[in-house]
Amino acid sequence: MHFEDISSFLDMGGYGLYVWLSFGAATLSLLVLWLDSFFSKRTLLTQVLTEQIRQARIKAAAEQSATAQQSATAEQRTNGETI
Amino acid sequence: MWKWLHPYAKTERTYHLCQRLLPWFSVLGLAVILFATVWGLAYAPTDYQQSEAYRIIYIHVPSAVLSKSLYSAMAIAAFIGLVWQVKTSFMAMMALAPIGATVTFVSLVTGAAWGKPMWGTWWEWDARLTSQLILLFLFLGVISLYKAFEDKQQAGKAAGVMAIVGVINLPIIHYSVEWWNTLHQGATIMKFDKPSMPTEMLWPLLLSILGWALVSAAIFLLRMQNEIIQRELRRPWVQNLANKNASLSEGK
Amino acid sequence: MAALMAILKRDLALAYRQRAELMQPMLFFILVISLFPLAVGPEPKTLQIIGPGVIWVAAILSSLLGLERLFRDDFQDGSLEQLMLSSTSLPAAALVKVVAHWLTSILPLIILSPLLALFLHLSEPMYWALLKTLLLGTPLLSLIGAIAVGLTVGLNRGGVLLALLLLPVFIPLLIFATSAVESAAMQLQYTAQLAIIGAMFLFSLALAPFAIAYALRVSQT
Repeated sequence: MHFEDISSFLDMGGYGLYVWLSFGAATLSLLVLWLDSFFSKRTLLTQVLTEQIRQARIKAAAEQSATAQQSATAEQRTNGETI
Repeated sequence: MWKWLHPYAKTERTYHLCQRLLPWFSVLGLAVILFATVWGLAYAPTDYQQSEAYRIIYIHVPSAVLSKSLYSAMAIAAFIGLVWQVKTSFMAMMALAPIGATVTFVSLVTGAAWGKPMWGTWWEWDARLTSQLILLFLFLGVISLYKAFEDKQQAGKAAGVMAIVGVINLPIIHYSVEWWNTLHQGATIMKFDKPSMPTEMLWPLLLSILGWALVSAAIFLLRMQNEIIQRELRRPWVQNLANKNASLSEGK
Repeated sequence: MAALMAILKRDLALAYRQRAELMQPMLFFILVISLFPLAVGPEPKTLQIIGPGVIWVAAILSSLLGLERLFRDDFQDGSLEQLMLSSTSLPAAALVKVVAHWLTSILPLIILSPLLALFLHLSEPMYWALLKTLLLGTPLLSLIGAIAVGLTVGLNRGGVLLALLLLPVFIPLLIFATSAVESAAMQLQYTAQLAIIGAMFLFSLALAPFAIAYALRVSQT
């Protein structure tokens, strides 16, 4: 350890402000970059899921209306026959 | 000779490669950067000229070196994408750009913070800082151009062209700024004289550069995955991935 | 060859019909330069020091304004697409359009330059240096600018993006051009600076047309 104690370490020969400002800015920048990348990945994967669910819902609704139409036309036919 | 690269034109292959490499680069990168930083901050000897302020070198030099390397990497990715029409290459290019911009920004801030005790001002138009500033603009230009397009195919090609125009100009800009600096500096000497580098100072510096490179690579792998997911949202393999991911987190 | 001449004549004719629009970069040029004496005071010595830089920065900014119209109208009405589908070589056509643009948007600025050198109290040797740098260097602005314009022609808000893309790339030109004029002010030789500008010009003359053609193809998809 080059420095005798913590206070001289923090003081950095009088240049503490500049040294710690640099290290702080660098750490902060890298941290922000990493956080953005990491949380983007999460958000993207959730987006894929919600889109999947949405598509499934649309499909189910389409099938429902298709079967509803089918039964409606089937009814019409039987009605037509009875008449 | 480059046949081994061909499978990686497919996004799925590349995504899984990134996934496999990610833990290694992240852990190694974090370890090396922490180790080197602590070494440089606390254990390296003092410089007789610049006292403790010189320790900023352990951030300023790695970030400056990385900024130029990342721009070159971005330009290479652009070149590969443009010449061989490889989509994943454009994705790599755009994954690199924000990292490059961040690292350039750090080099500017640390340069300014180093300048204040050394020259008395927070900003000085010396050749190195001015070149870094222009490099930041080049990164931001490529990113802005990419974001301006709706169609990401177009976006990739356009940003690729600008990346290459930038890389061709980079040596010209660097040379002209250096020359401009000598014109206007007059009698003052080159300000960023590296302190005479005994090995006890050099090793932590080299290690820091390695650490920064590894961390940048790790973040690149993450961002590359993000680019891939964004572009391949509808593909079944992405859907499976999202499902697996969800079930994993639910399992927790 | 005939096709290229036809393109040139067409662009010149169109520009002539849009004279009013062409005035805008010129007026901007004069206005911006006029701002500086107002901002820093009319002292001739100060103006002479900042003069070359001011004129060149103003020229660069004015050219950015004028560049926007290089491909915009043709893109919007489909003639650009026609041009790309025709048998004319696209790089050659692009070069011809850039020439037409330089003649209509930038040459007027150069013609105005003596007046503006007067405004900023440039000495005669300084002015001759300035003129040479403008003649050699402004084609560079058009050529490289056209690449960025080609890329952004399909975008809605290309304006500031264009500046962001091009200004860093124009910095070497700015440095060497202003240095030439300053050397002239000190009665020194400035052939070196002119040579470098000339080299940059020839380099872009050779390569830019292909980049412009590629950029146009990217935008057209």
